[in-house]
Amino acid sequence: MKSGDLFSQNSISSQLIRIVFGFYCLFAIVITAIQVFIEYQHTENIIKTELKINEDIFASSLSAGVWNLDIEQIQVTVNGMLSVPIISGVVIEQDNKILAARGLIETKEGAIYTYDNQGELQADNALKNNNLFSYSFPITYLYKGKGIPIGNASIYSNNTVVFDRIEMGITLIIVNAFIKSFILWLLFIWISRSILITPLNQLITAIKNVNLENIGNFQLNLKNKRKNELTIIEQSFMSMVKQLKEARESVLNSQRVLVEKVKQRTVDLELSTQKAEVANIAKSNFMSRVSHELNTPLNAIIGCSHLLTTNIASAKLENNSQNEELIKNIRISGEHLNMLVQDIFELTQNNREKLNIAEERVDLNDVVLSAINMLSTLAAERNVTLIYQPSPLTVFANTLRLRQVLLNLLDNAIKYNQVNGSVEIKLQENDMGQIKLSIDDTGVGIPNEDLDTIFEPLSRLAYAEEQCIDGMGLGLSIVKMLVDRMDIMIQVKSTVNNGSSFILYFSKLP
Amino acid sequence: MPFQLCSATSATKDNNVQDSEEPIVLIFNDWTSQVVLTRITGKIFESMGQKIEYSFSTTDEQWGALSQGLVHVQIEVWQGTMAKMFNHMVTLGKIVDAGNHNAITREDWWYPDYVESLCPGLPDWQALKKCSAVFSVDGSSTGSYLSGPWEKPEAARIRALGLDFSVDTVQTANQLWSSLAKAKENKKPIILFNWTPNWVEAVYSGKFIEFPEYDIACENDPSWGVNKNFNHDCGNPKSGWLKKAAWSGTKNKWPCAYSTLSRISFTNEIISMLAAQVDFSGLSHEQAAANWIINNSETWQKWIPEHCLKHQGL
Repeated sequence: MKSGDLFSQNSISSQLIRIVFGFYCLFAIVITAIQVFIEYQHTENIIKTELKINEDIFASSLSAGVWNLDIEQIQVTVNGMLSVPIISGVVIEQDNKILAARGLIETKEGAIYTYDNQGELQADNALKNNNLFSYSFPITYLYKGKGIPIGNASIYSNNTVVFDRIEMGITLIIVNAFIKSFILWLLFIWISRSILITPLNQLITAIKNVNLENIGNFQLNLKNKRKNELTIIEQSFMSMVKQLKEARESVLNSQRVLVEKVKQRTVDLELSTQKAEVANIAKSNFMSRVSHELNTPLNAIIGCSHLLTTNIASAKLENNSQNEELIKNIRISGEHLNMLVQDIFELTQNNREKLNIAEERVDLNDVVLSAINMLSTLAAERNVTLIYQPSPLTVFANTLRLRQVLLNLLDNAIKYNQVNGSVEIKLQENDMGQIKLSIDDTGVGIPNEDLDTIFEPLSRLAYAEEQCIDGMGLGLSIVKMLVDRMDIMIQVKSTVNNGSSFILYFSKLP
Repeated sequence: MPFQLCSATSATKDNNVQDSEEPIVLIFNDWTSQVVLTRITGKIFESMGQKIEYSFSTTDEQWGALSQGLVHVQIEVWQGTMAKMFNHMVTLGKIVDAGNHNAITREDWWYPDYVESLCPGLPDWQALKKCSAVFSVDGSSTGSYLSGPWEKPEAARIRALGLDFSVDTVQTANQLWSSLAKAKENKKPIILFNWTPNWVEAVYSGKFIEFPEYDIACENDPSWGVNKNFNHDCGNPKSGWLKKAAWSGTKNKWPCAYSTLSRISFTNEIISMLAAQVDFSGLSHEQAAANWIINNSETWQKWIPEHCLKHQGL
């Protein structure tokens, strides 16, 4: 809305201007009318006073003329009186009879007559509403020192004379009133525009243009030079906008945070779901694997037991070698079953609660040699050469758990090795006193994509599945769990078809 | 006079005539004959039991006083100087014509006989055109005409007739006569206002200037007379009347007095004689009037109407 539109409409400011200016015009008209009326009355009084002055001027001449009833002299005097601009009529009377008359006169009955320059009644038709006013004075003659009333003179003037006299004055009054009203109107317009309409329009425009999306850039400047209600409105509005801005920002932030939280929760939920699914799958796999793994030795034990029973029943006792083999298988299967149960126990135990592992100074060389001895048979079966150069080094760990770690690592290095491959165990101590134990094999190697998951429980290489390598995929998980408990860092390097290297870093002895 | 008042009252009842008890005011002017005649008239009214008063008035303002009823009787109205206002007031009904005296009057420029030798051609007015310088009082060519305080269009006449004269006005008749006496004593030329009947004619021999004959048109019609542009190119009437004037209410208010006034009539001889008794013989106005009343009772008592007279104890 433009300011002109606002001004032309029923805005408060334009209504205010119209009402105030309307009342001013009304009062101006009334005051001007009163002024004109007073001016008229004042001028009429002045003219009446001037009429009185004519008494002094013409009284003596009239007195002499009336005294002698010298009509000619009276008429000359009357003509002289009529030449005075303000006098529109004169009548000289004696004993209620007109001695001489000129111009417009009014009878006692209120009739108005016109007498010409010869003193003759000009017309019978009486003129009306000429608004005559007169001044009458007695004509006296000083006879023997005493004023003798000998007649009466009436001098008439009328409103035309008054209007002629005040014409310029009234014109000036009206022009003055008009100019004042016009100037006042302009001042009204100017002042109201500057202090009311323009700020109001700016305020209205600003309010209409408030954009919540861009409220941060909102500006309102009414440019009020003096503090007034609009300044308060401006300040209050800007304060409100500021609060609105802050509130909006707060809402947006809250919304943003909420969205982030929702997203995070969604991701978490998805992860949880995935984990749950993975866990569920892992559980299923674990149970399937456990069942499978447990089933194998159990079947072996059961089968061997049946054969052994049959052999005993058929008295094939002579074949002891066969029976010994069956018993050996039963033992081996039992030991294997025991190992599986032990692994499962350790793993589940670790998951339930933290293992309390007591650490001590351990002769690392002894532990390595015991592990090599325990797996020498397996290595021989697989035709894998175990290479170790004994080194007398001591670390801070738990002997049994450390041996289990080495057994698991060496078992994997043997199982996943090539035929005629080798496994080299090396012990080193650097300048800082840190001890490094590395187990390098010449096996199939671990693909890079599997490096991150090899320590996950039940995680097995595709190669193991393909080659039906015995195991549940718990060895490395147990290794990782144990080294973490003993503050031993483990590192894996591997190249497919070229072998893997598992390195243990022992902290410096305290 | 209680008796007279009672008589007047009874007379009123009998004859339906009733004079007011208010005094009649008679006008004194400033020349001798008028004053003496006024006193005689007053005495006659008094003899009728009428209260009287005298009031001096100039001839200029007497008409207004008469018209207003401030004064009531003027015993000498000269045609030559007062006809205009007299007729005007009579026409307006403000005063009434109380009748003529048995006298013929004339008022005009007058000179003693010895002046004729100084200004040849007199009494013809044309002679004045040639010898105006003779009457000069300051050595110039403009002659001097000595006038009285009475209303006369002398300046208008001088202009209309083309005379080289100025008007020197004196305030009383006595000043005229003293100037005349002094001029005659020194045989100096003089032209002055004079009238008849007057005592002067009985003492000094002289003549009126013969201006063009008076006509009423001379006063109102400029085309009349020797000068076609101005009025007053004539002399005063040579056989003028001498009237009595009264306020218009006199007849009703003092009917007996008015009837008496209308009968009063003085002749030229009486007027001249009475003026001479005062101005020449040295009697007072009162003495001259009283003498005349005493010596002429038969004459003035006839002027009183009979129905008024028998109740006045006269």
